Amino acid sequence: MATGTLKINGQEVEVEKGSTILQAAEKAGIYVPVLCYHPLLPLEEACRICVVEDVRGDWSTLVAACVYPVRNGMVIQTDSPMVIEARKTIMELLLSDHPNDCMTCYATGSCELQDLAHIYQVKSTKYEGARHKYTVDSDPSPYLFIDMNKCILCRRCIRACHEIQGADIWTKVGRGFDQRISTAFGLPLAEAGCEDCGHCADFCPVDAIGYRVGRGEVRSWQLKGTATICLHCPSGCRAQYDTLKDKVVRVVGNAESPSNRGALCKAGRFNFNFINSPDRLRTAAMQNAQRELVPCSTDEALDAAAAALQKVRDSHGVNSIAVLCGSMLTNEEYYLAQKLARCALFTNHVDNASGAWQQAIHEAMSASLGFGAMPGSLQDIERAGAVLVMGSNTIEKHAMAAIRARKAARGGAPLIVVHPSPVPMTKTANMHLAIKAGSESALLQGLIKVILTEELYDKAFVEKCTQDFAKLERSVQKINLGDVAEKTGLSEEQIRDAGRLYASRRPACLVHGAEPLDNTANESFYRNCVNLQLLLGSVGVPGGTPCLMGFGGNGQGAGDFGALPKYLPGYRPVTSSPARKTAAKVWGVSPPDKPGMHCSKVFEAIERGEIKGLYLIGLNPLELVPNKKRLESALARLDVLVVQDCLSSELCEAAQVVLPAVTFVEKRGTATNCERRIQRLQPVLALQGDVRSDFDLINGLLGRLDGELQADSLESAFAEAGQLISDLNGLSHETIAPEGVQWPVGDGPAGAERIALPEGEKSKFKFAAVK
Amino acid sequence: MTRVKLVETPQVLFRNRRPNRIATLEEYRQSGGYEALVKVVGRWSPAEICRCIDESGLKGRGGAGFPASKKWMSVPADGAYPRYIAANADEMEPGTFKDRMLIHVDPHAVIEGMILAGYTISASKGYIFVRPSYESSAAILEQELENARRAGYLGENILGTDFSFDIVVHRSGGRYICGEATALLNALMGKRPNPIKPPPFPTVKGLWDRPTVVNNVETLANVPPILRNGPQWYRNLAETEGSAGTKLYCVSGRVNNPGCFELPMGTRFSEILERYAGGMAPGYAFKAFLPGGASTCFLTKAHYHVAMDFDAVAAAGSRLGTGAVIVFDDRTCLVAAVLNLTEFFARESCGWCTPCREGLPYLRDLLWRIEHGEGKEAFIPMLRSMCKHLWNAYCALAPGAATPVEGLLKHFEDEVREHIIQKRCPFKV
Ligand SMILES: Cc1cc2nc3c(=O)[nH]c(=O)nc-3n(C[C@H](O)[C@H](O)[C@H](O)COP(=O)(O)O)c2cc1C
Ligand code: SF4
Ligand code: SF4
Ligand code: SF4
Ligand code: SF4
Ligand code: FES
Repeated sequence: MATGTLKINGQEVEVEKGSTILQAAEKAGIYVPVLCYHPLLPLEEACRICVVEDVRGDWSTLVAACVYPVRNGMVIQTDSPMVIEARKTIMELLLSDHPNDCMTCYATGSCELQDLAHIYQVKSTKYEGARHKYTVDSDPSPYLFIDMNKCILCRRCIRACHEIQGADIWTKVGRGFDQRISTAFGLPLAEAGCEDCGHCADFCPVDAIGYRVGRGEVRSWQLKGTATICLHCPSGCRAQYDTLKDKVVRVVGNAESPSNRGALCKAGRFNFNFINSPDRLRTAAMQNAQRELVPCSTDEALDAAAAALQKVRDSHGVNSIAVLCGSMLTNEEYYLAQKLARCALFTNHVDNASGAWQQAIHEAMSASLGFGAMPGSLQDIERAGAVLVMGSNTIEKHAMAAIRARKAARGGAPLIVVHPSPVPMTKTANMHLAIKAGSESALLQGLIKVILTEELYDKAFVEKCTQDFAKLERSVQKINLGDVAEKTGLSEEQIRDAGRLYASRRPACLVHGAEPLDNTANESFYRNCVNLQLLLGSVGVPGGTPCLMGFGGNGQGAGDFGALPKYLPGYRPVTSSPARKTAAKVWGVSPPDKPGMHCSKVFEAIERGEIKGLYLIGLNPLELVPNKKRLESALARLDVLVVQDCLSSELCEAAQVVLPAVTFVEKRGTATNCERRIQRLQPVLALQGDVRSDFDLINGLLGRLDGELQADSLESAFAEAGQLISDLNGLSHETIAPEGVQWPVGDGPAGAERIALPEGEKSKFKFAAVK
Repeated sequence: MTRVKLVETPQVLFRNRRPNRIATLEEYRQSGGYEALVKVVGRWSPAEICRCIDESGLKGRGGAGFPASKKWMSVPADGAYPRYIAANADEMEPGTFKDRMLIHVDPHAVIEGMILAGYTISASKGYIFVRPSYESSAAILEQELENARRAGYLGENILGTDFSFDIVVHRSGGRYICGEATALLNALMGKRPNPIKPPPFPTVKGLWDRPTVVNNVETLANVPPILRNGPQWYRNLAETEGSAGTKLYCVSGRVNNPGCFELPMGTRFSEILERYAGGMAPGYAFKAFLPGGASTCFLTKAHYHVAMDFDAVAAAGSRLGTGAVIVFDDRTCLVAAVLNLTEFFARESCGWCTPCREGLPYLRDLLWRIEHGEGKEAFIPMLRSMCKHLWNAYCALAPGAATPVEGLLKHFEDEVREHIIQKRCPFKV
C-alpha cells in the first residue's frame, strides 16, 4: 500500500495514497468542519466550509479538504487566520439567507449549521442580504416536514435519495441565488414517487427536510438515542431509536451494521407507533370462573397458563398443543419456545410465522449446496453484474435488498423485476415481467430452459463446481416455453429476452422475498433459484448469490434456534435419533421424534379439533390467513388459548390467559438476519407495568412446567443453544461486535460473508431436476 | 449594414471578410482553405501535428490562454473511444462577439480547424456549442457543414482516408455558465450544466467519460493556417516577442468605430483604440478599459500603451481573456458599470457553491447601495474581503466576477468613495 506523509498543523501524518486532506486530518485527530460532505455519500464540494490552507513555500492557497487529495510532503494549516476568515464568511453568507429560527426550530441542538455558527462565533446578521421566502411546511407528506427557508443547499438530500434509496425524488432547480431543492415540477412528494424512506431527512444537516413526528414537542437534547436491530423484515438493519421518557419519538439510521449502513426503510423508520400505542398490554389477565377476562398479576397468569397447558397435555395427549411464534422474537426466545414445546409439552408442533418458507430455504440450500442458508451476503447484490428481483414488493418488504439492486443497476447491471403489478422497483428496471400471480416457479423454469438451450451458462463453473448437470438437462427437455408463456402470461419472446438479459453479465444475483400469503415459494422453487444461479456461476462468488429471504424479522434466527416443526436447534432433524440424543444430553429430556406441523397445518388441525391448546407468542395468526373468520371460529373451539403479546387484539377476547410481553425494541438478546448475521439487541426503553420480555415469560412457564428446563439468563440460554448449533462455534454475547457476525462463525470476528467454492468432487454443488 | 474596417495588417482568420457576406466553401478553398486538411490527414501523425502547433505558440482564445497543443497532448494515448471535440461558441462573456464574427465571416475556418483537431486526437465526433441567440450562426454552420460533407471534408472516410469525423451543431440553453468547459460537457450530455471540477480533466474523462477536447472556435480556426504555413510564419505574425499569431479584438464602448478587428497579437491598446476603433467618440475622454471581457481587471491611463498579448496584459495586472476590449469614458460611472456586470454574474451563477451563490448577491447589493446613495465607508473593506473570498469558489466564474470589482477598488476607490460621501452617484445630474 503506497503511503504519503504530510504535515497538518505541524503534526506529521502518514496516510494512504489518494486519501483526502479530511481523511488525513481525521486520522491525526484534527477537526475540520464539513457541511455538504457526508461519509456515506458521494463527494459534492459545494459548501466550501472545509477549506484549509495548502502552504506551498512562500505562497498558499485554500483547498476544500473533503475532496482535495493529499500530496506527499504537503503542508496544511487547518485553523490559520486565512482559513478562519474564509469559514466565517461562508457562515455569514449562509446565515444571511437563513431564518435563524433556532429558538423554535426542531433541529436546534442537533443542527450542524448551528454548531458551526457556535464554533466560529458567527452572528446571524453581520449583513442583511436578500432572503428567500418559501412556504413553511410546503408538502403534505405525513412523515416529512419541509421548510426550504432553512435549506443551505448542501444537496445531501439529493445524494441520499439517489445514492441510498435510488429514488431520485429531490433535484436542484433554478440558478445562482435562486437555486432551490425541489421535486420534479414541484410536485408533492407522494406524487413525485417518494418512497417515504426518510433518508433525505436523516441526512439534512439542518431542519429544511425534517421529521413531522415530535415537531414542536421535543427538543433534541431531551432525546436519548439507543441503537438496536429492527425486526420488521429479515434485513437486520441497525437503527437508532430516539426516545423521550417512555416513548419512541423517531428512528434514524445507524451506519455500524453492514446490513444497512445507515439506510432504513419506511417501516423501520416510521412504523413505530405500536411501541407507543395505547393498545399496549401492560397487565396480565386470565379468565375467571365465569369465563370473563380479569386482570391479574403476571405471575398469577403464568401459573394459570402453565396449569392450563399441562391439563390439555395430560388429558388430550402430547400432540394436542402447538406453540406458534411471531417473527419478531429474539434467538434466545425462539430457543426457549421450542424447548418448552419439546421438553415440557412433548410436542414438535412449534413454528414461527415464516417457518414454512425458512424451512424450505434451508432444505433447498442444504440439498443443492450443502449449506443450509443464504450462501452470500446482501452486499453481493450491489456488486452484481445482473439482478433478478422477484417475490414481494421489494422496496417495501425487503428494502435493503431492493436498494442494493438499484445500486447495481445504477452501475450498469441489467435489472429485471418480476411482479404482477408495477411496483416501485419497476421504475428503475430494465425489464419488468408482469407475470400472473403465483407463476414465479414456471418463469424460473423458462429462464433455465432459455439459458440451457442457448448455451448462455457458465460452462467452466458448471464443470468445475457442480454435479448432476445431466439431471437438470434431462428434466429441462420436458419444459416447453409455450407452456411457460401460458402459465406466466408472458410471451415466449419476453421469456427469452429475460433469460438472455439475466445471463448477459455475470455474476448475477437473484433476489426473492417471500410474502405471508403467497405459498408458491417452496423447496422446489428455491432449488430452481439455485439451479439458475449455478448455471450462471453465481453462487459463492462476490457479486453472485441467490438472495432468498423469508418475511419474518428474525425468521432466520427462528430456524437456526429450532423454532421449526422438523428441526431441533442447528437444523438437527427431530427424526434423527443421534440428533435427539445430542439434544437430550443438553436438555436432560429427549425431544419427541414425530415431526410437528407448520402454522398453516396447525390451523387446519384446530379446525378438525385435533389441536386443543395453543400458545401464541407474539403472533396474531389472523394476519397469516386469507380467511380470518374461519380461523377465528376455529380458535374459539380451543380448550386453551394462551396469548402472549405486546399489543392487545381481538385474540385476547378468546384467550384463557393473556401474558403482557414487550416489543423488540425493549429487549435484550440476539437476532439473525437473512444473510446469517447475528446481531445484538439493546433495549431502547425501560419496561413499564407488569410486562416482561418474551424470554422471561417463556422462561417463567418453563420453570412452572419443569424447573430443570429453566434458563439462568439470556446469555446462558444462548450458550446452551450454541452447544447444539455448531455453526456458532462457541460464540457468546460479548464477542458479537456492533457490526454483527455472520455464521458459520470461524476464528475471525466477522464470520463468513459467503460459502466457499467446493474443492472435492463430493462437495460439488448439486443441480436438481426442475419440477 | 456592417461597416468593414480597413485593416492593413495581415488578415488570417478574416482574410475572407466582406461586407454582409459569408465566405462560401469555394472562396474559403481559393484562399487556401482545406489545404491543411489535404496536407495532413492520412499523412501526418498526431505527434507531428502537436509539435507543429506547439512550436507555433498557439494559445487558447476562450479566455484562459492555455496552449492548444498541451491540451491536445493530454489526451491519454490509451484513452477510450469514441473521442470528442467540442468547439465552444457559447460566447456569453459580456463585450465579446468575436466568435460570432468569425462564424459569419468564414465558417469553414472553424470547421476545418475542428476536423484537424479531431484527426489529431482520433476523435470521431465534434459538437459546436452555440449560444442560442446566435441562431443565424448555428444555421450558417449547419449549412456549411453539409457543404463540407458533400465535398468529402467531413463524414465517413475523409478525403478517402480511413479517418471519419462528423460534426453536429448544438444550441446551448443560453446561460453564461454553459460556456465553462466542464459545464458545457454536462449540457451536451443533457445534464444540468454545473461545472465539474477536474481532475479528471475532460481530455481524460469528458463526454460520456471519453476523452474530449474543448476549444474555443477562434483557437480552432487558427489551426489550419498554422499547419498550412508553418509555425514560424505564425509566430512572425505577432507584434511582440514571445507571442504568436493574430488576435480577434472586439472593441466596444464610446469609441468612434466599435467592432471586431484581426490584428497582430500584441498590438498596443493605444493603437487599437486610436487607429482601428477610431478613438474616443466626440465629447468623451478615455478613462479605463477592460482588456479581455467582463471578468478581467480594469486597466487605466497608466496602461494606455500596453501590448495586448497574454504576457504583457498579465504583467499590467489584468488578463487578455477573450480579447474583448471594453472602453470606458470619463462620463461613465464605473460603479454603475461594475454593478451592471455584477448583476450579470450573480444572475448567471449556477448556484453550485456557497461563495458564488451567496457572495455575488452580496457584492451586488453593496454596489447597488453605493450607486444609489446608500453606501457606507465600511462597504469598501466589505467588498474587498468578499472579492477575496470569491476566489475560493468551485469554478472560475466567481473569481472572474470578483475581478472587475477588485479592479474598481484598486484603481477607482476614490470614485467609489465619492458616491458614499455625496450620498449619490456623482455622474447622475
Ligand atoms: C464562466 C465561464 C464561462 C466561459 N465561457 C466561455 C465561452 O463562452 N466560450 C469559450 O470559448 N470559453 C469560455 N470559457 C472558457 C472555457 O472554460 C474553456 O477554457 C475554453 O472554452 C477552452 O478553449 P481554449 O483552450 O481554446 O481557450 C468560460 C469559462 C468560464 C469559467
Ligand atoms: S436549521 Fe439550525 S440554524 Fe437553522 S433555525 Fe434550525 S437550528 Fe437554527
Ligand atoms: S434540504 Fe437539507 S439536505 Fe437538502 S440541500 Fe437543503 S440543507 Fe441540504
Ligand atoms: S423520503 Fe426517501 S424517497 Fe422520499 S424524497 Fe426522501 S430520500 Fe427520497
Ligand atoms: S463559482 Fe460556484 S456557483 Fe459560481 S458558477 Fe462556479 S460552481 Fe457555480
Ligand atoms: S464539506 Fe467540503 S466543500 Fe462542503
